[in-house]
Amino acid sequence: MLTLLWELVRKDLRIFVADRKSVVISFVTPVVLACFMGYLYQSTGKPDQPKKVGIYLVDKDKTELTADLVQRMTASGALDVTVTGEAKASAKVSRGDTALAIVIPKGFSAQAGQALLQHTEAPTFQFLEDPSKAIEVAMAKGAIIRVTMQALTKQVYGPSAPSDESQMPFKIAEKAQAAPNTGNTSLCAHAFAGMGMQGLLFWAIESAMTLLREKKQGLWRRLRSSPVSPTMFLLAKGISSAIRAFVILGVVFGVGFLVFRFQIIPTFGNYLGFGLLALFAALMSATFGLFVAALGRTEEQSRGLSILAVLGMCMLGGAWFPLSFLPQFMQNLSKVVPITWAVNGFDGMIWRQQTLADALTSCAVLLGFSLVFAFVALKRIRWEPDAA
Amino acid sequence: MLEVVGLRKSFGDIEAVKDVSFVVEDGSCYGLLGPNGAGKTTVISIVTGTMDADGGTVRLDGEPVGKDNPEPKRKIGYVPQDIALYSELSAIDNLRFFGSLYGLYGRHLANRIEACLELTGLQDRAKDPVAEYSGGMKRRLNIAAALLHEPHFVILDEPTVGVDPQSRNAIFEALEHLISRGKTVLYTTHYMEEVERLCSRVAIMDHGSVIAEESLAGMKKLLPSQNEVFVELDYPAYEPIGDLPGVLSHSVDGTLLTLEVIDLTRDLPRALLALTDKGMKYVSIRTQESSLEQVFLHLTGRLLRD
Repeated sequence: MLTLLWELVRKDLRIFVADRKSVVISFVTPVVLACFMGYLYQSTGKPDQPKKVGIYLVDKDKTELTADLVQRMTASGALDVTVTGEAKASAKVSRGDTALAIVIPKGFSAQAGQALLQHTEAPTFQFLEDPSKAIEVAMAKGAIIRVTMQALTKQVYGPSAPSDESQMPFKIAEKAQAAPNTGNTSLCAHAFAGMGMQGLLFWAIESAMTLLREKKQGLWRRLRSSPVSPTMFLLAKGISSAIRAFVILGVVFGVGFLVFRFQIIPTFGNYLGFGLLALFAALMSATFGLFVAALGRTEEQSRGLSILAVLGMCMLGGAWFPLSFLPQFMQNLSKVVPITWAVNGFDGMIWRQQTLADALTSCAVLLGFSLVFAFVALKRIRWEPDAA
Repeated sequence: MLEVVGLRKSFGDIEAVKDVSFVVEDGSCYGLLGPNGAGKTTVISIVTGTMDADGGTVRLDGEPVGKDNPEPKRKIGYVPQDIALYSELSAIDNLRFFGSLYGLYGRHLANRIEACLELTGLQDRAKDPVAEYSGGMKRRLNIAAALLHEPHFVILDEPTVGVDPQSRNAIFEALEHLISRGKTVLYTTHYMEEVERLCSRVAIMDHGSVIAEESLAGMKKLLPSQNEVFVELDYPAYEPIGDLPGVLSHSVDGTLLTLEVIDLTRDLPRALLALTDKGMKYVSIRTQESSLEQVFLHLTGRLLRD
């Protein structure tokens, strides 16, 4: 029984290795995508090179307060301020050259001071925004409101009032809830987990298409004429696919560890958790391939739908960007997507300071998905030719 | 012995197989003949246990054949109509895989691989990927894969489709070798000459039914006229020849006189004597036995390859 199983698995592995082009694509595609995303995340997160948001400022008030405002904005380190006229500022935002322009209306300084002291009507700060750059706009708005309040406090209460962060009557202590020395590699590791899982699922689709091609070529009919049971064939397919997926995942993370220097938190539990996660993620992707093959009748019919499903799962599962970027209802929905559990599990073992128990939860969920996929494949796969 | 009784199979509204019955005796080669779409491959799929019938039974040596009964499958060597091989792998790797499906391993498997490659004449290219093989070589390897486990019963579903004459001959020689060794063979084809060369008994299928089932000799007797005689005269017959005793019909084309007779031994001498009496001299006589093609035409009103 085991010898037969091994022969069936070995045949699939030999076919995989024989197709050199397919091997290269299986490994290179997720690695290239993960490196690209990794570099992207690394450059945006580097603490020594803070990324400034460029804004245009129209000063119609031209007072001491507005001059102080411009100086404080520039000094904040978060904003790159260009003072200009309203028409030019508006055009720059419309063309997408900048995320935000602010128009300080005439009389702003006087009205704002009064509003702070006597609760009179506040003047309007006009923000001209590029809706496609919501993150930059949000960052800029935070910095602008902070420095405006500081400048106003100084104007209203005099120089003795605490008008910059060094004079605040409290301190902020920042502590990243991440493994020590992970620095800015956490998002890189996330990118590798996400792109690795995406690569596995796309590869699973290719495996499913190969299965459907084999059916079309009459290979299934030939196999079913032998005394070997369909369960054995599917088991062997699942094992061989899981081995290939495990190796692909190993190569993807291997490149990440070498190039981006992220590391698994060095405890036995985390190493074990990472290994188990890779194993169950590989199993999940292997059974997903069988699931796709079982539901599809022909290659042509199945490919488009399954690609759409994988893209949806990748988006919803946080493979492309952290789940926190998504609205709350989508974050809740992401729990029904296996990628979420895999990516969160890998994040947990590499930099989130999670324990083996956390990894085992993700492993259990991935195993659950694998069992569902395998069960459906076993029940639905049509070994018989559609018509002889 | 293979017994097929009352087999039925439908795909939706299409009745692909309608009440098909036949028996293949041990050590014989049985031909299942019919045009494309006659239902031959569906019958084969049921007989090989890859498809369940809607009705009827298939028994191999008394044991029921079905999708979930592995025992009869061990006795069957199935050569499908499609090239059921892994094109990325070499012939040896393919054979190794198919051998393992029947529990062959180690030295025994290696010996069987060698024997089957030799039988099909593929030893020289055994290590090349199948993708690099010609169509005929793939067909031969398809057959080799079915013979590895030395099955008692070999089923071949149109094994010569798209094959060059050289490979076709190699396939026939391999099959004749098998038949001579006492293997039981079920052979489907739509080539009459293949059945005539290999098989001792034939069933003709059309539109899902067996329309005739006979020995090869018996099948030809289904024709009202079973022999054509071509008589080359020494000069053209310008006048009508008139009735000839024992001759069903005749036609003249220049010096060629074509006669249709039922029994050569009984009828031909009488016809030739009558020709002599009419003052005619002939320079050569050639006979042609009725073919299965004519039988099919007679039974269905269509040519087999229509």
